Amino acid sequence: MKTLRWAALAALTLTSPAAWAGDFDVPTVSVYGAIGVGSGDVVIRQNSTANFAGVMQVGPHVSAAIQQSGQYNAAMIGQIGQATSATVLQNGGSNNALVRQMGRLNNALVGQIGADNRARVFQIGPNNLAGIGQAGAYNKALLRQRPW
Amino acid sequence: MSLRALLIASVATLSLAVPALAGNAGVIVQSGGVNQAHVAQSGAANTYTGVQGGYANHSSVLQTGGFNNAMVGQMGRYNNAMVGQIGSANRAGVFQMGPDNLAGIGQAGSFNNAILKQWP
Repeated sequence: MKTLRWAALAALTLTSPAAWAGDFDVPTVSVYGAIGVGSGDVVIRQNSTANFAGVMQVGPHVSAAIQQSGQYNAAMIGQIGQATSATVLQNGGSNNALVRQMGRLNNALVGQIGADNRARVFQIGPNNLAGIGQAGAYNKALLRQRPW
Repeated sequence: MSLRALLIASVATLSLAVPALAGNAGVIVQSGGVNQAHVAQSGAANTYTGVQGGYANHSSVLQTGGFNNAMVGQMGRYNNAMVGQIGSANRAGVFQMGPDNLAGIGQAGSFNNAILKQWP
């Protein structure tokens, strides 16, 4: 009887997480981060749900590119230097992109396809270029540019 | 000061003034309904171009400084566009195609230029 009780308890313990996971469909979570100083390029591609990608670069002539497909993505790029390039392409719903650049001759490009997208681009310095393209409903785009 | 020195000084000033006035440029393109675009540019010689397609889109542009250019195009109904410019020699253009749209342009300063065209 005691053995049967322990077996029932063990079976209940082992079956519960699987049942809960099946009910709520726990998404795959992935986090990616990169920090670079000097020169170099960063390319991140993710194709699953609930992703996050962050890139921080300091130096001239650096570039970062993030491409995400799926839902609940977020991307962040920070660049300090001149003649830098940042590209974010997201395809899915509830995406969020943030690009901050400080310096001159920088360019930022954000493309989002899907619903509830958010794109924010902040550039400090002269001769910068920013482009935001969004397709779908309920999108929001914020662009702020100012010199030194 | 001789005429030649004055000419050289003028050319040098002009060549330096162009990079000093070189501002930023921004482009936002949105397709679909209920989209929002907010743009704030400060400094001189900035350029912004925004295009929105669909219904109930909102676009706001604020430019402070002189020699700025802003152009907003909206296609659809229930759209609204607001452009504010502070400084001299600014240019604003708002073009809306569709019914029930709203547009507002405010400019403070001298030598500003505003164009508003709305089609049903």
